[in-house]
Amino acid sequence: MPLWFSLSSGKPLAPLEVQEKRVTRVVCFLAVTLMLGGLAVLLAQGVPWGVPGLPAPHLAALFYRQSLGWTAMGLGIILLGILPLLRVGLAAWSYGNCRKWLDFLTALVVLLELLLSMAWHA
Amino acid sequence: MSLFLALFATGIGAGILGALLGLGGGIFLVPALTLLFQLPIRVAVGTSLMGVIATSAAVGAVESPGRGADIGLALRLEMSTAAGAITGGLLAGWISPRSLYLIFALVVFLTGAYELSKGYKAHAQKGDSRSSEVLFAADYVPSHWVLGLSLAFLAGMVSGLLGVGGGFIKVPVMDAVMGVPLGVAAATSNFMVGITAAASFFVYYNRGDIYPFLVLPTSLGVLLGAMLGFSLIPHLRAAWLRLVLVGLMFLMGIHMILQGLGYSGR
Repeated sequence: MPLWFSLSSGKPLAPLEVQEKRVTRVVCFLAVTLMLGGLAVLLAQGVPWGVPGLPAPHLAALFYRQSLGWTAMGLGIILLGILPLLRVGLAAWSYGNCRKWLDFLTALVVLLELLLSMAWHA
Repeated sequence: MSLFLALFATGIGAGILGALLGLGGGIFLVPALTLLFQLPIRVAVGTSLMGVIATSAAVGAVESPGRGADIGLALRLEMSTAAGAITGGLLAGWISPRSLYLIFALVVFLTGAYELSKGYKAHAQKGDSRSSEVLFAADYVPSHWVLGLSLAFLAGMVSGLLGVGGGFIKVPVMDAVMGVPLGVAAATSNFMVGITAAASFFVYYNRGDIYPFLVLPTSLGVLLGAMLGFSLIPHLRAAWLRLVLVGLMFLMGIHMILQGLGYSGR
């Protein structure tokens, strides 16, 4: 069995746990605030509430030809959507800082596989 | 407004169950959104992906040190799962989906039975499951890596080939096969399903299948529900969690056998 597997975990990297938790809380708070703020703006502008309503603005069109409400809601959704990738990136950065190169490489491979998978499906 | 509250309540329910069982909640959200709210499947899946990411985020936000995800383990298993998903995508068209459904159903039944027997042994050894089995621990060392990674690869491959999430098999693989405590396995699985969901989420976003008026109440509900659900884990018996998980696995196994035999209901 390779050493890096047998040495695995069970003893979580405490600073990484703390950083992950902090980043997750901040991003969640920002995302929810943006979504709720966007909804408030849209309702104030008289946009009728209805399900399913309009789809979220396309990524390429997020910052132009959109009202502030749609942009804010779109940004909130995207922020929450990229959170898992941010967490993997943070893990890679943290492992790199601790010179845990095999864990660092694992995190990088996961990121790479994710990007490949996204490109594949796109 | 009543629709907002109904979506919010659905999100809370899915969040609680998803966080408790380490499944993310998509398995509950998609049927609820299509059957109760009559939404098209693509819209339901897009909303559900956001819900899974919200579950993963909520668990990450409330986990206390030593009671959270094992990030190293999650990344290693995720590496295998993602490789399996890519392989599945490449093999699509070469392997019969029906035979794969049957193979995966067999794996689900075997893992479920093994999970059940592990719980039974733990119960028989100590008598009372509350005192006999810890849900969280820091001194475990995951074992049977080859089998664990192989099953994670298979789950990823099935996901890539059939579009079926393999999340419900990750917790029993970690718990029963690799010897990870059930609570840690649930938190780790929630971390993993968030990563997997994020990969598909942007495809749905760019395709126009994400609707903010749907996503907002559902995600808010899921965030609250998952925080509540994960906070409940230390107060629950491992045996109860295991029974619910195994019950769900057997239901999924039966569903897969029916799909494999051509009784898909479509």
